[in-house]
Amino acid sequence: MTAVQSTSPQDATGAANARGLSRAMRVALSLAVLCASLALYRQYHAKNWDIARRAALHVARTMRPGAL
Amino acid sequence: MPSPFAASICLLSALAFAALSAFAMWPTLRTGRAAADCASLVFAFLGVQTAMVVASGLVGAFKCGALGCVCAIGSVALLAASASRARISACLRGLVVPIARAMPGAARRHPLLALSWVAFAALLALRFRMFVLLLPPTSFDSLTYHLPKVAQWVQTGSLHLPDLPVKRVFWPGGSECLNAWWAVFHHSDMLANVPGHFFLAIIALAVYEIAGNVGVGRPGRAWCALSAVLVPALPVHATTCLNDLPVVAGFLHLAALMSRKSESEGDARTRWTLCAAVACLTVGSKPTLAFLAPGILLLMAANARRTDFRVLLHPMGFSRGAAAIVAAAAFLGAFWYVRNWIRFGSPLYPVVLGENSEDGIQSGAFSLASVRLALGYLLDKGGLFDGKPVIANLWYMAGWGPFAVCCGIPASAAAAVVSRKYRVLLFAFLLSAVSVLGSVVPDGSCLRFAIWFPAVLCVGFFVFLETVRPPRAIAATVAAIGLWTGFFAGASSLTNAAAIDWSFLRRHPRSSVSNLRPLVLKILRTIPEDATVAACLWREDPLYLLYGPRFTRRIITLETLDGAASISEWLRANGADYLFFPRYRSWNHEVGAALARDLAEGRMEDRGMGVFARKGSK
Repeated sequence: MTAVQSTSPQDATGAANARGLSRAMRVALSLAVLCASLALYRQYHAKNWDIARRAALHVARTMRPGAL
Repeated sequence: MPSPFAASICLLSALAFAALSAFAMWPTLRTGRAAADCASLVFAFLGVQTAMVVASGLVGAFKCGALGCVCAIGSVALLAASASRARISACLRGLVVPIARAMPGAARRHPLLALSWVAFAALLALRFRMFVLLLPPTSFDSLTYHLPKVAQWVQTGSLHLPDLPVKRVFWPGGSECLNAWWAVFHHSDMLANVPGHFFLAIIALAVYEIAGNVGVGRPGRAWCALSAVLVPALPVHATTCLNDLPVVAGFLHLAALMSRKSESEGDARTRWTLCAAVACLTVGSKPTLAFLAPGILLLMAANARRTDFRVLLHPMGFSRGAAAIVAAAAFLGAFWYVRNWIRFGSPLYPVVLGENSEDGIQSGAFSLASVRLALGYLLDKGGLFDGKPVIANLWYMAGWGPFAVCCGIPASAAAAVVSRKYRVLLFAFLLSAVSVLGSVVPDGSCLRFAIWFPAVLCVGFFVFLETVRPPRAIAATVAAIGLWTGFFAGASSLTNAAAIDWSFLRRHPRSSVSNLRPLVLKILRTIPEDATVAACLWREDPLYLLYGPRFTRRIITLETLDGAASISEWLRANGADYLFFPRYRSWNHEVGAALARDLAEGRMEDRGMGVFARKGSK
């Protein structure tokens, strides 16, 4: 079991909260968060990228000189 | 109408008075926590503005010159009185000196942090320039009932009770007071959406404080604040004159005050004073704060100490200054409800508790079916992932942005496993979310009542990084996703502006950029700026556009002909030349039939897009 050490006074509370968390647990939690983040981002990207692209094209088209 | 120069001088005088008054109040509101204290200072600044609008409106002196003179005299009086002068100078010393001393050292020690704050300030400045000065508010609700109130108050110089078919116009007007404050001096809506940016500042400071209370270190707190204000729904709301942002700011400030324990009796007294004042002022903007109360009550219970009970059981221990601040805030909050009680017989008019009205007016009764529907919009119908440019009424979308959704949700779940303090905070926010979503009408835009929720997800991300302390490679990857999505969140909130036809803006600066563009153009072209317009409106028509950007047109409501033989006769009797009746074939058949007769007999002309003119008018 590896206890998480506090590195600075302001981090004392946070480190105290995580005290007792094993390395395996930390790695497992971190990997779970990473995988979930990537999965959610994939969904978000699929739904929004085209909108952002079209919005950028729209601004470029309407603001270019001589567009009026 | 005042000249631009005189109006600017009066505005500066009024702002100086509001700032000096807030400084004079600040020592009573200080808890010793820098971020919470600064949020309280901004709240006090906005509270003084609201108080000035209500006070001048009640005596019919809500005018540029009167406000400018009174505020100039007030400023001189505050600076002349030794007690207030001492408080103001102590406040300025307390505010400026530590920042000036800390800045170079902090920037040297934490260059990334300093850079992030500079970027934050630059981003806000850019938004201020782009959205406030260039774009008028475009939200449907603003055009339907928030801004018509402002226009009527500025036109009449008083808190005139508007005679409009939109019943929601009678809801509390605390938020509109701030819009009116920025509109009255130049007699223009050019700056009406400025107050939203003060609420964004309160949100950033409150999130900074909340993050500190659950154990996030200082650099992490700054990132929490930055990521929370970049949640797309918030800056979009800050430019629209809607009253949801004051509720977000009030709720988060209350959460910041209540997510820690009292350190002493004095600290407990200040916290409870602030809590009462902020709650009253926020309820004066929008009563939905009451639906968010369960989460705040949970935080209060979780952090209660004997000191708090002792302080609350002995109210005589509070200072006279604290009592005066709470009394003023209670008056400003209760004013609108008392007015409705006297005028309509119900403080909550037009709400009927427990009944969903056909106007889409909130019922206030909690129902699990509403929660299920709202969660359906969020999860089943993809509202969580937005899927379209974020607009203020958040129709079938959450507006939380990619950072809170992709990084905040999984990290918050992990943070809740390891941090008890964060677990309590997350549970309190969830409780408030369930309470509010179960208490409002579950229509497609109900998710806008929960735009404060991403704040706890942003905090959760940094609690996760600091408490779980992932292995370096994973931490770097998660942080990279966080940075990318955080940046993308900021960019995606601009898509609201990007969806606008910018070429139109270049031709007609500030005339109107909205989805009602053809209608606005027609009104601009066909109705003179100083005309009196009779409006025959359905209950939800966005009538604000009729007033014009400088509130020059007078609007009267036409519902029945009151015995007049024709429309043109009714218009002549009421001093109007124009009729705005956009739905005349489908709404108000009495007036519609009379108009058809007048058109057939040549007494009225159809100018198109719902605009009709009396024969012979310009």
